[in-house]
This record gives sequence, structure tokens and C-alpha cells, in this order.
Amino acid sequence: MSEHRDPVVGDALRRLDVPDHGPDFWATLEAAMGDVGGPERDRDDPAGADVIELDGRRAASRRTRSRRLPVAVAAAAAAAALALGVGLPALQQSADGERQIDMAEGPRTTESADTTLPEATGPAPEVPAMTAAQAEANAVEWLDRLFAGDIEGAYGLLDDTSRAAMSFEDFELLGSGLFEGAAAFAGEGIQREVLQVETAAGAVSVVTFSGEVEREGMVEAAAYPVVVTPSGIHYTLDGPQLEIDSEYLDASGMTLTSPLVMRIGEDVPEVWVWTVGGGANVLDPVEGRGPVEIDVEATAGPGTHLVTLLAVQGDRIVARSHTVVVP
Amino acid sequence: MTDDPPLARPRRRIARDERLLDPARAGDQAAFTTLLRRHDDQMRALAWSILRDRGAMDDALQDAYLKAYRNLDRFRGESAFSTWLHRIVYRTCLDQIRRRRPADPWPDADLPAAGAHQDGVDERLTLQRALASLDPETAAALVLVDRDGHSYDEAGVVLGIPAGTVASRLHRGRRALRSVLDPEGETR
Repeated sequence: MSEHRDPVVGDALRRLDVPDHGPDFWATLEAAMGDVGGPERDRDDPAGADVIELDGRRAASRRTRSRRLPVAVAAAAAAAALALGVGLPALQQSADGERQIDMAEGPRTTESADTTLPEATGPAPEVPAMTAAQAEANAVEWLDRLFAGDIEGAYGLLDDTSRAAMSFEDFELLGSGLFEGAAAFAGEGIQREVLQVETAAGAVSVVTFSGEVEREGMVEAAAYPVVVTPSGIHYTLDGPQLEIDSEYLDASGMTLTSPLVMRIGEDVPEVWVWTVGGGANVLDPVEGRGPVEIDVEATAGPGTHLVTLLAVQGDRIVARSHTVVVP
Repeated sequence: MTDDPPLARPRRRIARDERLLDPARAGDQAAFTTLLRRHDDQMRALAWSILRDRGAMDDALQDAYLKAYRNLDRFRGESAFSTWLHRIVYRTCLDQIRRRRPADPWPDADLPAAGAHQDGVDERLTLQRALASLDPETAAALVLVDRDGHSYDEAGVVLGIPAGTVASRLHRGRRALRSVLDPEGETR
């Protein structure tokens, strides 16, 4: 099994002219390095650092691993509510670990001028076609099959839309790196959260795996969302455009700071933002396209939050998950 | 630039890098500069694909290399040095883009004139413009995987995204570049 690389694109990119540095580049850099005087001694303040925390194993040992706790979140709102400006159910965790919608909780609104978050006066939530436990079991099985190298089995778990969009040969070409990357989230100590929402494409569940994972020798906080529809795992390469443009806590690229800034494709009609952590469990439908800011601090307060984004465009669905830190 | 296939270079360089890291950590500036120069081709390609302006590229790389030098004591070799450096360069380039948004127009001054009578110039100019039309994350994924031969997971570590997201960005980027490289035979 090998990872697919496009030889035509690769050759063209290698022929592309990349300019050399200006004439003073190295002299200026060496002078600046001389001013610095040498590498700074190690510090214990990663939040204040410019670059990635590479002492991940030590960092991991300082942290308490989340126990493997299946958390079922039942949250649904009719997609039509978006157009009506309703929705925003607040989610709470009950004593038995099940998270439930509390429509009386009221919205945790954001202050961003770019964000439209409707009032919490929407219709009663609908029960999704698939239970959270079923969705979670499907996502776990998918990752387990990838981890085991059962590419055919993993492909067989994809939903109809995904298989129609991607042949088995194309799926296989994605290669070992893709599967190893996904498998990093299949280990112990990974927390799972399940988001369920009724979208224009039907009932959608997003199972987010989060925790400390090791990739390419680095151990760091990361999150991986798996989209589950009633007919299987949804994974396509050609999903709605949804990019994150937030500031990073450090150069790790894994932990963001508030506000969460999204760039949403102009032709993507439906986006949801789900925030968990710091006592907040908030599902927000987002109105408006282009750059959108979610003030996680105003929504969820200080702390470390897991923010999952879900974009729906026709029968294509994409999810992104990030850890957002509010000091 | 060597003639080695892209995949062969990183493995060979990891061992050579290790010999320079200890003296660099101890403050041997020349050793660190040697390390930087060894990887500078790839770092320039990454920075150029994101910033597309020579002055901005130099500013970002100065900043990134200095950050790497100051924080070298925190690099403990769990990953390849080049992966660590790629991440710092990538983040620094994104920071620079955010500071200058809304997006600057294409910096024509740094490109050969359109229609210049040189073999391949027009094709390269067309490709540059197609690359410029991509978002920075997609352009960076193409450079890391298709140009420089990194794995999807390595690229994901550099870009701070899961490997599956790298795959979808590559798909989008390849389709865009193929449409100008091979407009009639555009495939995957």
C-alpha cells in the first residue's frame, strides 16, 4: 500500500521558480542569532512559547488522561429553523453521563459582529434516526478497521454517498499515512463525544475523538471527527469548504485561541458549531457565509474547549474539530 | 538542489541532522546555520507557496529560523528536525498572511513577464497563478506531499490537521492545478 502522489502536479511544482533569498538574508539572520546569543534554556511555560511543545511525553505525563467515556449527546433542530432564525439549544450533562438538550437554558451568545446566533426559541428537538450509541459504535469500528489495516472492511462501512464519490481503489490509494493518522485516535485514553443534528441532508452524527495522540514522534492534543449517517461513515474528499483561520496558542497548530474564525465557502448553506468544555455544551447554527467569528470566551468562558464544526452542502458533509483554549 | 528523488532526501538528512543538533543546542551558531541551509530549499518552497512574495518570504523565514534557534532546546528529536522546522515556518507564514489580510493582490513584480519568449515560462506563470488561487493550506499540502514527497501524516503534522483532511485538500488542489496543466485530460 502506498500513498498517492500526483506525479504530474509534483513535477510541475518542482519546475516552478522559487526565488532565492535577498542578498542580505543570511548575514541579517546570523546577526540576529548573534544578538540572541544562543538557544534559550528549556522553560515550563508552553503557553507563552512561540513554538511547538515538543516535550510531548513529559507534557502527557502531567496531564490526567480522560477516561474512555462514551458521552451521548442528543441534540437536534430542524434545518428549516436556520432560515427562521431559531435554534441554539444548550446541552447539559446529566448525572448518568448522558447529555441532554435544555431548551430553557437560553443561549450563550457571542458578541462577534460577524456571527449571527439566533434566539433559543426554536422548535422541540427531533429525535435522530440513529442513536448516539449506534453512531459511536460505527465510528469506533471504522477506526478499528483502519488501525487493523482492514481497508476493505473500512471501505465497506462508508455510506452510499461516500462510496459513490470514491472507488475502493481511490480509497486504498490514500495510503498508510492516512490510516495511521486516523488510527492514532483509536487508542486508550481517547475521549469520545457524539453530536447529533438534523440537517438538510438528513440525520447526521459526528463522533469526535480527542486526547493526546502521537503522530510523527510528537505527542500533543488533537481531535478527529468522524461523520456518521444512517447508511454508514461519511468520508469524501470533495466536501464543503470550511477552513479554520484562528490564531494558534503556539506553533503546534493543534490548539487555537478564541475567537474561532472560520472561512465558509460561499455555496455552503448549512454550518453548525458545537462547543464542549468549561461547563458549556452549546450547539449553534451559523448564519451568514464568508468569514465567521465565534467568540468562544463569551460562549463558554475560560478553559479548554473542544469545538466541532459541521458543514453540509447537498449530500456532502464535512466536520472539523479543534481544541480552543481561553486563558 | 540534488537529483535525489524527493523521498530519499529526508531519510538521509535525518541522520546528518542529528550530528549537528547537539553543537547547535550548545550555541554553535555555525552548526545551526548549516542545518538551516540544508533544509532551506524546502522551506523556501513552502513559504513561497503561501506568501508568493519574495520580501514576505524572506521576512517570514528570518522570523521562523530565529524562533527555531531560540527554541532549539525544546526540540528533543521525537520527530525529524525538518518536520519541526516545517511547522514553525508554516505557522509563521500563516501569521504573516493574517497580519496583511485582506489578501494582497498577486505580486506580479516577482514573476516573469507574461508572454516572455522563454521555454516553459508561460506554463510556469500559469501554474503560479493557479497555485495563487488556492487557499494557503491547500497550496502548502501540495508542496509538502506532491513536490517534496512527505507522507500524508507528516503533512498533517506540519499543517496541524488530520491526515484525512490533508487528503481532501490535496484532492481540491490537484484538481485545480490539473485543470491548467492538462485541461483536456483532467483526472484525479
